[in-house]
Amino acid sequence: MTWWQRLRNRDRLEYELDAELRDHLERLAADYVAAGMAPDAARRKARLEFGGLDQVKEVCRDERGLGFVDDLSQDVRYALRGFGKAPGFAAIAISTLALGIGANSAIFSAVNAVLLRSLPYAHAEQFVRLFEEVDAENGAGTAVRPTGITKTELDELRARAKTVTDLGVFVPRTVTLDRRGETIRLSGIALSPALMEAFGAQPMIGRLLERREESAGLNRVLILSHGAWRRHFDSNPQILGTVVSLDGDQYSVVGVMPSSFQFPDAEAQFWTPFIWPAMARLIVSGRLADGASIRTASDEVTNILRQMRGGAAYATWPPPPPPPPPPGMAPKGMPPAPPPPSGAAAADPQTTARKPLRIRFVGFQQELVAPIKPALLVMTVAVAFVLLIGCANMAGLLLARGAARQRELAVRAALGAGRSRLIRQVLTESLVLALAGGAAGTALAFGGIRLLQSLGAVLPRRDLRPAFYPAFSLPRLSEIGLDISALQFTLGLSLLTGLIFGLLPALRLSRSDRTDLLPEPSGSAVGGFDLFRRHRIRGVLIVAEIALATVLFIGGGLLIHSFVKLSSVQPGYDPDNVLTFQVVVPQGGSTLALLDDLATRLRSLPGVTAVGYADKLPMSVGRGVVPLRKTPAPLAGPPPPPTPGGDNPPEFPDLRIVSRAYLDAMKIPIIQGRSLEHASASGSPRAMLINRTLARSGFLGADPIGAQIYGSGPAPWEVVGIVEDVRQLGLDVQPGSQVFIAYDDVPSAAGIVATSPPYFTVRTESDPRAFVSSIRAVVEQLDARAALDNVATMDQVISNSMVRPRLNTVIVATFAALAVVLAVIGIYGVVSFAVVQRTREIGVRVALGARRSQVLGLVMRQTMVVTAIGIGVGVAGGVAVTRYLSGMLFGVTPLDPLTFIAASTAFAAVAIVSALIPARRATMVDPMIALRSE
Amino acid sequence: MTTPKSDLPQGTLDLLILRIVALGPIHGYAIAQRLQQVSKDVVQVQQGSLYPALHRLENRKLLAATWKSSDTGRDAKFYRLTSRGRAQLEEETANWERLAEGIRLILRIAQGDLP
Repeated sequence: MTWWQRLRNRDRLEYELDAELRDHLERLAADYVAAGMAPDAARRKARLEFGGLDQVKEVCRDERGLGFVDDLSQDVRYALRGFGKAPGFAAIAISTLALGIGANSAIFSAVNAVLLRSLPYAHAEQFVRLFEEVDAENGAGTAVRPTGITKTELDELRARAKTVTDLGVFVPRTVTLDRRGETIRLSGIALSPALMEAFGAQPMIGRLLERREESAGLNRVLILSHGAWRRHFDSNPQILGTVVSLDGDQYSVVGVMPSSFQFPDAEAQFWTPFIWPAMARLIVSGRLADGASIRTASDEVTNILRQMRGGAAYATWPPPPPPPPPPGMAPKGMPPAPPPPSGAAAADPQTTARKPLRIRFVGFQQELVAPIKPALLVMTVAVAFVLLIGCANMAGLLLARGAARQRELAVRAALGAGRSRLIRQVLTESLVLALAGGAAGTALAFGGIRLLQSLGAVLPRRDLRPAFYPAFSLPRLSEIGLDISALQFTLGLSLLTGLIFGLLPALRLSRSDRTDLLPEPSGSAVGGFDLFRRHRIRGVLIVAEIALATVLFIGGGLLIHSFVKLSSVQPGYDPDNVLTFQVVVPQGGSTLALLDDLATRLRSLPGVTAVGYADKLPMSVGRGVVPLRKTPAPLAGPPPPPTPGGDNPPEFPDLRIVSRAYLDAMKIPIIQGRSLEHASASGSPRAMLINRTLARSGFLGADPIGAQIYGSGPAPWEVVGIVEDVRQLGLDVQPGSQVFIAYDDVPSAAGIVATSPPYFTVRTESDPRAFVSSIRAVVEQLDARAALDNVATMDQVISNSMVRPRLNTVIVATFAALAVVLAVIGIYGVVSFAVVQRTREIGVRVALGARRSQVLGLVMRQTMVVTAIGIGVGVAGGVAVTRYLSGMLFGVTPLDPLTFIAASTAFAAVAIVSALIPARRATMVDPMIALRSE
Repeated sequence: MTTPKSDLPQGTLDLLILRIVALGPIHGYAIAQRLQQVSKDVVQVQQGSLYPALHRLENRKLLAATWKSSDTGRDAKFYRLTSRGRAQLEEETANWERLAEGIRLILRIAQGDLP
């Protein structure tokens, strides 16, 4: 029988063994009876002669070779019994392990997924975008910002550049699809066909875009994503050649991509050729040629561009506004907003340093990760801290338990247990702990991931901030799964700690002679009372724990403080109970008259207090920047580049086109003058509102009201009022200069409204979401083909913009809390253990007349010294380290004294309390019992 | 009546058991009896070591065991020799006899036998 079979037949074998031995006994007894003994006497004699039945069974069982399994199960049962007798230890050990493993696995998974996950298309690491080098803001080194090139330069680069291929542009485009009477909003990408080829993906049906299609007239073609094809076209295999109406224009479907192709992310539903607006400067992307590096590509392109630009080879910002672009691409009229390169600081053109152009390419992956990298690094450090504290705690716990069990182990050794047996026993205990902790930790990890997903969820819209980059992947925290390697790593680490520190006492046992451990010495009662006399390591451990926890606590405190400040920023309008949405009408059916009619009808709904609409919401991506001048702009050709100290330097405020009731609907206060509610009298200039910042800047003089200024047309505008600053770009972005004008006053309003539907803002008396269905009904009543899109409350929009700081704060604060809890447990454990070890000594002191308060003071003083050292080191560490948080802080400096003081004081208080509990127990020591415990 | 008993040298118990079992299937008690009888009471096996030895030999596949009905009416565990056991028995017996012969020669050596 193999040992495996023996394992399974254990019961039967036991029975057989028992039967065999009993049979022998009976035969022996029978022989004695046959020799003339009485049956009872015979049986007793037989038994005596045979020896102990159980002993023989033991030896037989050993011979059977299952000893290992039997011993293991015995060890496990013993371990569990031991934990049952000391539930506190077991609970603390398991929860320490679980917290450490769970929290760290969750964060490692997130970090891995975000930093290391590659973009969802082939050769992602070769795709780059064109940036230029500029001086870094703090003066140290260089930074990069996006830069635009002209179509001519692009053509030249396409012809000449060897290190980078498939150059092109891609921008997000949202269109209205008129499908079987239904109005559908599709979000997709307009891109250069060359760029699409670069991905090397093959279409499932039809073809890719062709290079010739990036000229007007040939560009009305469309490639659908697999999802869009399935959802809106019923996966019709005969789709090729179907003509669809996008924003009123007829497009022909020429291909469908497989579901595996996602560029730039899973949200893109179609791809269409991009038409370059004449004279525009746009940011290009491309793919590095095989064998080329970012450096060589940057050098080559720098040279080519410098040659082309000759004397004008300096960085210019912002690019000069283009003359009217071809219809259908960008709105005409007052603010011809050039496609705004993303994220760039609006550097004042006059002060842009004129340095030679230096191009640097930046990889897509890098670009995506750069804004979140600092936060992720901070989190990794926090994770490491908590892991360390957890391990130190486990070590301390196990050492303490080991020391307490010296006696028991010594007794077992004296009774004949082999050294290997004892070590095995201790190992088994550590393993049981580690496994239990690991199981709990894994459960926690899943929960942690779930929490991260919900915290990090952003509205799946490209039109709102936080904009990572206009066309880049939306952060898909929802796709994060538990990273197995992260789990393995933390599990392994805790197992290792458990094993090492569990083994130490057993090993110590075998080194010295076993017998002299039996009367366990607790140190001489003479001399100073030192908590850590024989346990220096534990003292150092606890100081380290406290220091690490303090640093984390300070960090968490800083972030919380910062988030609170951010949340209490006045946005400049009242976001409560405001519903926002866009109304989409196909085939250019959207007109100002329709919108005004809709606004009026909505206003009359019960519960609605005000209705307005604007071309952009606060937190909208993209900026409409318009040049304002005190004198009319020159009529012919593009304006000359601004010269410093020139006689007509324009301002470039942020432009908002609004309905007349918008300011009232958003409750934006008017500081001076009047609002836009009433149209200017005919014959007088059109009304414009400026904000406080613009007024204060002095551009329009001391009293701007009544001033006349010019945009890009000949007719002047009159400043009729000053409004409060509105935080348009984010709660943490200082508002710049802003102007507001009415849709009525913009000559090309019809065109603007047709291509970019305005955002409605409806203020209601109660929860705005309850009004969605009635609003939808009104819209349908007005135009059966119209649909609502991008419905969200203003609160949701603002909350959405704060996802990143919220995530950072919650995570670091959670880790700080974890660290503090673990450190406190550590302190409690240490003091508790020390008190138990010193029971005899304390008993002697009490017997010699020490009062309770003196004993308490004795214990507490030691603890306080250790805690003070720990917190001191922690604060010093915090001072050194919090500067790395400065990118994540708002309104709070990294050395914020309030936070530092509050954190250290709070921690010290908690530490004192946790030490007091066991210390008080020390005072209850009955000297008689203590002295007798030896 | 007592007879001078000898302590069993190490490891020979297995050999003796194999020899007894070679005579035919037999259960544990009978093995003990037979060892005593055949050796004229010189070999008395400690009851506590017989069964461990039997189980060890069974483990090493030198013996095979089945439960059969016995003379008392109850079932008993009968051991029999396997072919591997038989080979082991022959080898060990040869070793033992060689050893015994060598020892006997040395013990009977007389003064005059030395060269």
